[in-house]
Amino acid sequence: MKRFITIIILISTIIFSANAQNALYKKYEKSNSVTRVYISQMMLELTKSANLQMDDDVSDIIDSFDSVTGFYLLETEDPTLMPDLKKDFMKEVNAKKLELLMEVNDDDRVLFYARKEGNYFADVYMIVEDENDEIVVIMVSGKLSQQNINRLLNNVD
Amino acid sequence: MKGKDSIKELLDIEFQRVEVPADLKDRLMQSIEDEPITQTTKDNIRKIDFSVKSIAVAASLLLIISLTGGLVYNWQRESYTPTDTCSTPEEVIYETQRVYQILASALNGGVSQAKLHTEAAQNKTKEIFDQITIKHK
Repeated sequence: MKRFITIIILISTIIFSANAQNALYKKYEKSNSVTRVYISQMMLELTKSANLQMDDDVSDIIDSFDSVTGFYLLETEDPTLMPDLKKDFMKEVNAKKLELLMEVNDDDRVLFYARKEGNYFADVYMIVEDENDEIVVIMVSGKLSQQNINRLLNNVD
Repeated sequence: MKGKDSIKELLDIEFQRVEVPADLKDRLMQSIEDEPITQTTKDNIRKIDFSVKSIAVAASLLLIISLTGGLVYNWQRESYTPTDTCSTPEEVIYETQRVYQILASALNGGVSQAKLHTEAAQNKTKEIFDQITIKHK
């Protein structure tokens, strides 16, 4: 009887702990007033293997996304959608239990969230709010190493 | 044993003296039949009797149905895969660069602000320290 109950609990844990794909992107995928970009890991690898002529900088950039399983970009200037997008972003951040890494209040308001897993930053989420103009949400699924973050910090044009 | 036999003999002698009417048995049966039947349970309380086995079967069925429902729900949730929005490698490079630049400038903006504030705090601390040193001299 004890073994039966243990098996049932294990199965339930497996079933109910499975994580969904990006729910935020899915919600706004069909919206006309939201610009969306999704690039999968396969597409990044195809680009690398396509042997295109590209600058070293660009090649470095593509390499930094080596351990990334996909990245998503959502951008909108629709004032009716902005509060909903912001709210859904925060819901997604709370659901994934991400930590606030950085908050910048300058001309734009920028919030950076991620989860630290050893030497990597997993699931980097960022929202940039330009008052009344537009909101940009970037979600990087997968892992960014400390080196990648340093590269980002040292690479601004 | 002798004591029991003597008691039995005494009881037999006593019972022989009692006159038992011939129709006693019939009268007793009649009185039993004439007695009204009284209900021991109330009509408005319905007693439901479930066996442990049926409860176990119902609980197992409920568990199986909820687990199946959970499996189906999760399968539907996981079967969604977003489609790539870039169709050519050139587009991929352009969009990747764009995302990279946004991330980099946001990170740098925050870090440079933090550096500015740290430097300002350090300068202020140095000023205060210098003033304290001058006063003590």
